Amino acid sequence: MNHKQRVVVVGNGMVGHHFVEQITSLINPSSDAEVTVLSGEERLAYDRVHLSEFFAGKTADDLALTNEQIYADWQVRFYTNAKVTHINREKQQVTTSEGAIFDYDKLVLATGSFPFVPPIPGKDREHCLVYRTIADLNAIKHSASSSKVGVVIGGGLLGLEAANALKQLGLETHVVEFAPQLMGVQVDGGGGRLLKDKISALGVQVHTSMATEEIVDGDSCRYKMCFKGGETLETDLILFSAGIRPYDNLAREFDLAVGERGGIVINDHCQTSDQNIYAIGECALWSNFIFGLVAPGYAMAKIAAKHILSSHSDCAFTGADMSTKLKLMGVEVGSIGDAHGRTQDARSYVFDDQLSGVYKKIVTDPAGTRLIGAVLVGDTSDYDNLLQYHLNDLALSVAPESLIFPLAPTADTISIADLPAEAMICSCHQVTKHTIEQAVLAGAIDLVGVQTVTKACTGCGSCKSRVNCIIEHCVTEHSLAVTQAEPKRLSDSALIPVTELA
Amino acid sequence: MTTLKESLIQTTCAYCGVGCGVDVALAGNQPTQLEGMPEHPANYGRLCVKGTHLLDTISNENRLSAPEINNKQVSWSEASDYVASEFSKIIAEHGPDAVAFYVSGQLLTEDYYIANKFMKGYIGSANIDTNSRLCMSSAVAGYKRAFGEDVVPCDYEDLEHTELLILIGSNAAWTHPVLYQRIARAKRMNPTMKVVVIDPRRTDSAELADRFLQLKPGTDAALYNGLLRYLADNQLLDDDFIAKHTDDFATALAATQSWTIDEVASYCELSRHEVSQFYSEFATSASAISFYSMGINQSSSGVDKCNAIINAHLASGKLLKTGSGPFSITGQPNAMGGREVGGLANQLAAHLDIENEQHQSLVKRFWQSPTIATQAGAKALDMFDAIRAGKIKAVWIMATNPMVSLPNTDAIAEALKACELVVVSDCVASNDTLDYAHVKLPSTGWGEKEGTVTNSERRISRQRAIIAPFAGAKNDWQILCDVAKKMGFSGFDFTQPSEIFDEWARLTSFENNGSRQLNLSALAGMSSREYNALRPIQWPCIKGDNYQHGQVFSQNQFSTTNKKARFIAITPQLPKQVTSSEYPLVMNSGRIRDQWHTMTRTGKSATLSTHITRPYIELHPKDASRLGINNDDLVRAQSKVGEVIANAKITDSLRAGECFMPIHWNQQFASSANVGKLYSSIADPISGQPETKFTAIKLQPVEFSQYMDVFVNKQSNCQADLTAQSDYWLKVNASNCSQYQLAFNDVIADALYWCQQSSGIKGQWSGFYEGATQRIQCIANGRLVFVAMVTNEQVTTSIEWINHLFSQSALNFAQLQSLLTATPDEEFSQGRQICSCFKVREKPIVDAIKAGTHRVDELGLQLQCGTNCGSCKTELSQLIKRHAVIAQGQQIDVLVTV
Repeated sequence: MNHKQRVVVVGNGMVGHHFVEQITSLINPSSDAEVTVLSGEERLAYDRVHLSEFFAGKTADDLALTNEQIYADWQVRFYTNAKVTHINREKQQVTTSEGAIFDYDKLVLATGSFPFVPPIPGKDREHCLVYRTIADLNAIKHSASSSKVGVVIGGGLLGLEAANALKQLGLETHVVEFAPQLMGVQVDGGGGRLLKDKISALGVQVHTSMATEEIVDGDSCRYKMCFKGGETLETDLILFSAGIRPYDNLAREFDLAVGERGGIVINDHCQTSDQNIYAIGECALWSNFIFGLVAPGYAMAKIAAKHILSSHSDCAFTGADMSTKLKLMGVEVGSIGDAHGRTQDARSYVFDDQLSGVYKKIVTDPAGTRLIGAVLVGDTSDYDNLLQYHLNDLALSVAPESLIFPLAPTADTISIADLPAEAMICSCHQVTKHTIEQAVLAGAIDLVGVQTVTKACTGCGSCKSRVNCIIEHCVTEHSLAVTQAEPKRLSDSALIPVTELA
Repeated sequence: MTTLKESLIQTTCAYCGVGCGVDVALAGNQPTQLEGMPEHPANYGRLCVKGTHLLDTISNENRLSAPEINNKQVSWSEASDYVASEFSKIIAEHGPDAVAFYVSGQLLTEDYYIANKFMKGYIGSANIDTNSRLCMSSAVAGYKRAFGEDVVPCDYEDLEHTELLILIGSNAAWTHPVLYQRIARAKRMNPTMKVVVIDPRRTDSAELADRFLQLKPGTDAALYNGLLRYLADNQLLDDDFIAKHTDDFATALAATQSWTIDEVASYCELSRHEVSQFYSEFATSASAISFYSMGINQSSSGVDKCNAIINAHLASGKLLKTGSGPFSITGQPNAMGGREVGGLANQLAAHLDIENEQHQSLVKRFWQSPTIATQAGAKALDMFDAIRAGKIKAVWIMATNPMVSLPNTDAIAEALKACELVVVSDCVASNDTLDYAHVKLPSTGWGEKEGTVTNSERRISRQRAIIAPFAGAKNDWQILCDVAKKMGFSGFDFTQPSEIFDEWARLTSFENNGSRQLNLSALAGMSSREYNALRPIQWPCIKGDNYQHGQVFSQNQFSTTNKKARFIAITPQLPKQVTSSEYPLVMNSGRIRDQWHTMTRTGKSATLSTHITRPYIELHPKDASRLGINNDDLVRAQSKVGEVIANAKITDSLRAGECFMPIHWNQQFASSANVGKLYSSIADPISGQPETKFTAIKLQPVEFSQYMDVFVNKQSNCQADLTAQSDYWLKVNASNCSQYQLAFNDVIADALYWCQQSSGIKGQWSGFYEGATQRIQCIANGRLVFVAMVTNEQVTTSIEWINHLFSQSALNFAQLQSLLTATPDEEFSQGRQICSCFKVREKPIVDAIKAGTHRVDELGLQLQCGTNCGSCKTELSQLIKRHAVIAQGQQIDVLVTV
């Protein structure tokens, strides 16, 4: 190739940005490739995972993942308000709504997803909103200022985040869920019940098993929601959070393969049906599955970046662990692997303490020797330990129930020393124990240092305690002094051999 | 610490008609220990397992504390006002026959006497009948036809002096264990004594038998008719006795003409040899007793069966002699007392006849009552028919549970629903009958009452209070007297039971002049102190030196007008409820060893509930394989009138084509296990006793989608919530928990949530799920308070194991793990409990037998089993037979040493 490889990235959400980050860390920007980012939004990438903090006082700048200076430093060309409307696959060109044309050698679609709004009569009323972008947040803020009551339709993870936002805005807040339980993807029935109790105790009224049939004018509020069965609920503001749909219209229009129910079909290298076009994140359909979490999107970004730079790269996307740990309105929730115990012949162990409000469930393989799933509500202190068993497929050395039952004589926690080097510590950024240890040995002897060098613990943040443990263990083991040179950004290919330390 | 004053009170057992004396030791006012009364002539210190655990059943659980009208608590005065005015109103409008009392063999003689006096002498109706109608009214009618009076002509001591004991229609080993043990002991002391057991089922009683005749159900009269003919054919009659002391022999004999040995053998489905051997043994024995009970009485021709038996004894002169006689054994503690005072609708009082004008006059004059009943009232089944038809508008049910004990339960429910006024006095707060009561009156229970009872050998014993009455409970005689007085009747101014007894004793001797054997003149005029100190005494007890207490029909003088006993010509009848192609099987019913009646009392004892924990339907292996039924499967039995569900128990102790189910489980303990539902309202035309040993049924396996064994601690009050949501349920009580075996047509997917909701228990719940198996527990304050074992097939969890875990003040992790894995400790996987007294289980017994212990008494030495009450000895003997490894040449009969 006689010119620098032109890589055009469509979309600058968290995954699109991560792709930029990955590819720029792998190339020599002056020689190998030229990266162009086209963002449909008015601003560059920001942290959607922590979007609700916008209402807790954070600004758009606080949420930003990057800025113009950083992209400039990385020699990335970028355009905001540049919505791509056309792909010419033959000429390998994309055109924006404003008519700007960009040539590409490799095109990366990171268009993400949009909120699904169920086809309920009345859904298009003025104060019926969604919760996805900073622009949406501004609309919500505006609407809330003239509202007393707010309803979130959808009791999933995002719906509860949105409910928290409404509550913080001072509204009487309701969550309406079609299914019999909250967060049905991440937690099982028992966990869902406790979650409902806890959320209700925090002042959010939860209505499960409710199908909204119509939104009409209200009597005491702006609107009235009418449910199947005749019940009604008056509200001034409705937020839809009923799941996501992939933004795959470009793929549809320009004849890339899409799944039956949407999503741009990709292979293990994240290539679409056109080998020069990649799709990553929530717009991509891998193995007939759309991943709605950030970590799998990051993994795709990394794989796509590597593959673009070297098509011989054998790294492949092999699916992603959907485990999550989060705090919803102060309620701790954790979900690991097969949380529902749907694996054939799986065994489950449940601990449901109604008195202290803690629900724990673990799922094991039929032999009871491997942990394949877990649900934690009210107390996620076991999460890290359980996740290590799961991610590293470690054999349980004790009876599974010992892991979660308080009556068990000693809790069985895995010591960091026992973890294999390839143990995945940060799922968001795919950082292994080995990588963290190398970073520490290279001088990143505190959390900030490791975060800077490896990106570990900069996604959802749930691996914080594990990362700290590794740092501490490593520092003690190697008697490292706390005064070391400024850590530098580390890429997998730039690891310092252990022998160089001593 | 102050030492409590220790004392001893002697009273009488609450259960069967043996009437054992019990000694209750008290510390302060708390009963602490109970033992058989060493000097009581019924038991001489023995007690069966039920009697041994009487104190377990004294509990304030499920007691009514105050009267209720339409489920609202009222004062006693309001309650008796209400009952009195309602009864008066109905009588004024519709006449005396529009009201009825349905009473019980649980009442004491004094209660019974007042109820009878009230109805027959003051209300002026004979609509008073007793649940004894269900167990021995045929025996009463049989004696009355033969002897002119309802007199049992035998004593328990006869059992110890007989050469031939015939148990016919009796499983005494389980129903009258103390008498059975006396028989067993007698047999060991007298090697020539023979025992013949005649029953369609090979019951535990057959363990003792030299011969077991497994006859076709309902053919007993033919067997005894054949015996009469055999005696005549072989010149083995007591011609002198027949000539001097009997009438109608010729007609009775004529009726037996067709009953040759061959005919009897074919009719009864016995071998010719079995029949002739039995006849010859009867004829040649110096003495013989026919010991009979419900198997004879509960029949549509029960009176005839009794008379067929009595005929044979009259013809051979085998009665009124030591070790001989037709001996009817009653099932209730005071069925006999009821018979004496006239607590049956077709009697007047004190063995006087209701339709005899002289007798009417006698009683009316004695009572100085405003009126007297002049014709028989409605007998039990007729009474409930009349209620259903609206002829009887008010019924007062005392101390009995007709919703369980009467046949055709659905019809009884219909009657009670239709009835204007249902008054129930009982010592429990809830049973299947109380659900229908407009007025509930709390009465005192066993242990709180003072009075007398009469046992099966006419022995009157005092029942004494060992504890104070519960809350607002009153004695039945007091409740009755209060209402009678409020209805304006004099003659009910009694202040204590001794006064009632005195009047009763005087009535028995009033114008008696030897015409009635029932004469208590020697007991009249006792002071209350003498009454309190009364020792067990047999009637007749006639004042004067010339009379020996307890001797009946002296010099063979019977109570008929000419003093001669009567032969009755008998034409044997088969049961009226017949099998068909749709209902091809026969259902028999009866008691089990450790439960009694409808379990309202024994159901409270955890120990008694462990011998047999659940209702069952016995069926023959041939029928089981034809119907595809396995042991322990839930099966549904349906007759023309109702259906029940219980676990199958396959046994070759039955005849093929026949089934058996225990009578005890009611709707407080099981969703559908009341065998009474299967029986039609068919009764003996003379005695009115229902046919509850024989009905036609069909059987089929029942499968549910989900089964759940739930255990909750005793404090929880979730029975209604648990059972209302299940399609089948059964309750078993243990000392620390209650077990509910539930089954569902539709699977409950989230069993944990279901358990949390249904139990209402809050705590630390834990669970293990694997496919359809779910094991759920709850701990509160360290203690186990809830367990559920959920599966898609029926599995039974050891209640003793779970009960043990419920007893722990702090459940440890290993115990919780054992629940998660459903792995009981070793000691709880020892099989069925055989010996209730020492809690000895099947496995160690079988191990000992296999190791060479082949005698019941040796097993007792090793393991203690059978060494207290002895009720389990027959089962031990069966286990020996089944498991003993017999060395070559060893005799098998050395094993039978009950």
